[in-house]
Amino acid sequence: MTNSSQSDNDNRTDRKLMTWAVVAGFAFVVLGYLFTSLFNGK
Amino acid sequence: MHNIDWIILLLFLAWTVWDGMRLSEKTESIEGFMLAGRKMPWSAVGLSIMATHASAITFIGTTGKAYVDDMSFLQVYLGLPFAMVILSVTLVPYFNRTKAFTAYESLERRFGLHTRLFTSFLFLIGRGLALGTVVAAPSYVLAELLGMEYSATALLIGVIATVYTLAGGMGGVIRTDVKQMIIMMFALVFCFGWIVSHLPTGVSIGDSLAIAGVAEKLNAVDLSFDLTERYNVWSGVIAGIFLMLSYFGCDQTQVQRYLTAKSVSDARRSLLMSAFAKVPMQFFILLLGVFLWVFYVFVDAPLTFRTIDESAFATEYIVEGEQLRADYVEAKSVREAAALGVANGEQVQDEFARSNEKISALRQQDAERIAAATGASFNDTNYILPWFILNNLPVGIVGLIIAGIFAAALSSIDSALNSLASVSIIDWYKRLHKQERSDKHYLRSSRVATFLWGMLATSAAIALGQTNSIIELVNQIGSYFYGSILGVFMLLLFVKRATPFSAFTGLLLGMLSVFVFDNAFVNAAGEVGIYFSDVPDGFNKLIEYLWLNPVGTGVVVLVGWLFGKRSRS
Repeated sequence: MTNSSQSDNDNRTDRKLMTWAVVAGFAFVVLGYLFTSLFNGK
Repeated sequence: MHNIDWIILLLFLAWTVWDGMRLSEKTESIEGFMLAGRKMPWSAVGLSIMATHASAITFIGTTGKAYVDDMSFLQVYLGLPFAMVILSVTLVPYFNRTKAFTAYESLERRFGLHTRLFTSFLFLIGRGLALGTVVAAPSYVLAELLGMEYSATALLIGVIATVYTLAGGMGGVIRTDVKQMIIMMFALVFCFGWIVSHLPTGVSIGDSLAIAGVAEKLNAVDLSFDLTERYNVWSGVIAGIFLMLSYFGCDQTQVQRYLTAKSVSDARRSLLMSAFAKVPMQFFILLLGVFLWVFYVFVDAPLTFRTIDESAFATEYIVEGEQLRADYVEAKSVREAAALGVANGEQVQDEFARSNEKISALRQQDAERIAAATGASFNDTNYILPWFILNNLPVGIVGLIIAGIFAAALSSIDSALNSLASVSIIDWYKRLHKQERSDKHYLRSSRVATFLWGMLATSAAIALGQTNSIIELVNQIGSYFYGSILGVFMLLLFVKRATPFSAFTGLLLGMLSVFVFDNAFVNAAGEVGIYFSDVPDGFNKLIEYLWLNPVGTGVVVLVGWLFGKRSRS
């Protein structure tokens, strides 16, 4: 694999990881809220 | 502590020093010493980032916080995944392109030497002072756990961290951080598993959650928007992003970690590891604190967890203490019976909540009694987990878990030492030295700087001890410039018209604004006043501390833009 195609591959993987990190960020907020609503003060 | 636990702990400490130093003879250049030759794999860098972020106080203080209050502290970390993504597309490729050694080095070309020196000076002052407290805080707890003198414990932690950081440089720091992080996680998981397996027969994990829920311990996310409330989802996500951008993007302690990565892609992945793992990890640590609380609903525990010698107390305080403890025993048995009722599905939630509130009030009264008798503030939050370790865990495991606390302390101290030495040498000594010297000379100087910072931090920890006012002052100084330094980096990346003058003026005004907002108070009628001391009754903080970061950043960017030159293009 040439250096430039390796770099393209890396960039594609990075973009995917970053997208998933944003999704995870929102998911943590939603899951935290669901956890609080389900168990807290009940 | 049993001899077997001592042997385990001493073996761990000896192994840490050996592991940190073992490749020191291969460190022959300043780039090798400070950046491990920019050859570190992303997984090691990622674990080092997490280990540096998690101090011993994260380990014992966070569990204590959930035990005493609830899980709302989780919200401070909710902005972290977003901040890591923003850094991955902005500062990470920028630092990688410029092949910088320090974050502040990058500022000189655009904003002049004075901005580079001033921001690096702020880092040295803030991180240098904070390092004393990073050594002091766990030393107090570990001294009590080990039955050692406080000053001897602080000296032990300070000397061990200094020795292997000085010899092994960044390579040694990252190598030990990885193992320290694994030991710390093992300690946490073991404590959790042990607690769950030692709950009374008939009390399941679901029952424990139900009991903790009645006591409102499981409040993890609060959607209400209130600038005067310390933790809610808005302060965590919005203000928290600024705090995390500042810490991971402009603080050399963290920047230096991902500067060691092989490529920009590896640097990104090392940061994104925290984006995925940090929030679940903090959730787990807080949940451990909650389960510890449930455990002590059923198992004997003292009213307050910090051992105080009361023999010198005035008689009235001793009598009051005996009465409080007698009331506590009675309330605890009522609460235990009600908790079993909750676990069995009986409608006794109100009775349980009432007895729990009574115990919280008794704990508060006991803390006030001890404070009045000793003349010093009393807080046992950081002593709850250590009390559990010493009094409930089996021989052999105690040594391993205390090794986990040492690991958490050392992994934060070594990174700070290495970064302080790097900034001292690269941004000050090398930059201001008129005559260029050999790489070997700067390597030697870096080791001397590591030694001096290590000794300074250890001496400060021993001299200042856990003086609350000083620790608060140190944290306050840090919070004054964190957001403002981020503002300067935002000008560097996004505001073309910013000039050296506008950036430097913005930095000063940003810090001044944070100082003013931190001392701004408001009353119920909406009247706002600035009070540096003697705050009148009925006045509360205008904004909580997390919001100071966006204030600082905002002012710097605004001033930098307003006073900058209009772009010709």
